[in-house]
Amino acid sequence: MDILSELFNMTALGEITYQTLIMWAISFVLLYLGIKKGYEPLLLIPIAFGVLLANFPGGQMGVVNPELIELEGHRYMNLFEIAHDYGIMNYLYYSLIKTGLLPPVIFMGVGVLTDFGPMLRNLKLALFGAAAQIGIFSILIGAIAVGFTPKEAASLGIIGGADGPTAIYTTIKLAPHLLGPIAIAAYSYMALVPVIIPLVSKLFITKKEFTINMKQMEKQYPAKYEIKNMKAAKIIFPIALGTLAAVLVPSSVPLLGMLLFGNLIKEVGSSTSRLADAAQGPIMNTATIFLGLTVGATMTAEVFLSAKTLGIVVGGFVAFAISIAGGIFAVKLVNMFSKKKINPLIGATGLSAVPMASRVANELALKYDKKNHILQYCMASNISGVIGSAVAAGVLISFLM
Amino acid sequence: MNEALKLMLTGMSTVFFILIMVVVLGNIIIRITNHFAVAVVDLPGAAAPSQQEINPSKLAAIVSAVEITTKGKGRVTSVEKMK
Repeated sequence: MDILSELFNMTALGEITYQTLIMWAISFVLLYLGIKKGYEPLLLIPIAFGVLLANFPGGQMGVVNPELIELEGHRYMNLFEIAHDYGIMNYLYYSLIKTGLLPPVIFMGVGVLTDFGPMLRNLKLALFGAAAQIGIFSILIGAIAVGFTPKEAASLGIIGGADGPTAIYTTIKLAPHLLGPIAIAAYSYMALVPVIIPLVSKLFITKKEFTINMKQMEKQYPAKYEIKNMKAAKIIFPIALGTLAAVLVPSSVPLLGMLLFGNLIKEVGSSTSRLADAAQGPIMNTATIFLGLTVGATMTAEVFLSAKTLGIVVGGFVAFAISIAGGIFAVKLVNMFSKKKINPLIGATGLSAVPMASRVANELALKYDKKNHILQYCMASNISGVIGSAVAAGVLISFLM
Repeated sequence: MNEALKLMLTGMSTVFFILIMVVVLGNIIIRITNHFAVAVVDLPGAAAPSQQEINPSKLAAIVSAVEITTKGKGRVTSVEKMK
């Protein structure tokens, strides 16, 4: 009998509570969405498995409260002590996430995958990437009104920028205790861009506006000049923009600087192609694995099962929708004063979910007019949305930290 | 709440300002590169008649495709139409 009792104590069976089972169920749903439905699988699957690992009782894979690693006199345990006392997941979390290392590393890979060409060809459309950040700041106000602290509200609002690494980076800096639910909400809504953009667009765009043909407008009102050396422009652009952003919004540099560096090593061409390959391949993939697992591991039952999580899920959706609507109304405003009309779908893609938002908007435009290809125009505002959300994050961090 | 409103105004103004600067900066870069660095497709050894036959934009696309596919190791020396 004693042997059976000892065997039972060795297992985790006695520690499984109803909260554990709920967290397992959440993890299974996320795994299903990632594997079967293909919702952002590269991040949702590691996050979901991280949730599962964190909620295996006795597994020592859940991220612990920062207060536990804090010592007297504003000092912290070293990484060896963290690994020894709380396990390897805490070692990974406190070295890679809490330091804010991984989101900028991922942004470097995103930079390699980004092409500023469409934006340089249609520079004025870049302004809609600013208008579409309105969701971030609107939800900031709404969240404070319902009881979130300013730092928590800012982390919730940044979901409206539709940029996963930016949302994670801002939350690490401002409200790390909400990292799990915010990352889940951000990536879930990014995966739902094909549903959310048509939903909001059909609410605010008329049939006539859907059929505004950008190429016809180009013919009627051609650009003042053409770009004679796109390669040179693309090489100079990240250097110049990085310098400008560093001077004006220094707190955006970790994200924007790494994005622009990644872009530069791609644009330079064959002489740095090995660096570009590494940044967008092995480095970004490794960073994605550890980011996903450790973010998932922050979602222990006691942290995740709270009213704030529900607020984040609802608030994140509203932030997303307001951002899309903000872009649409900015285009409508410009159209009121300009002869050269712009399709409002281009404003709807001012989010930084690149390139999915642009593809969705293009397909939507083609439904109304089979010859109306607006992809390259949408990419202009879409790419500027990446810059816009990184700047918005920089502003929030510098004001609230 | 006042602080939040102030943050909204500051944040949106900064985002707009930076993206306006992006537009200005982009325009300046394009003007400078148009003036000082006009792209020339250099094809050493390419036969003159074949260059005349092919559209310059198609030629540029072929050169770019070869550079990307061969990661900069390949070089286009001549382009001929298959008969």
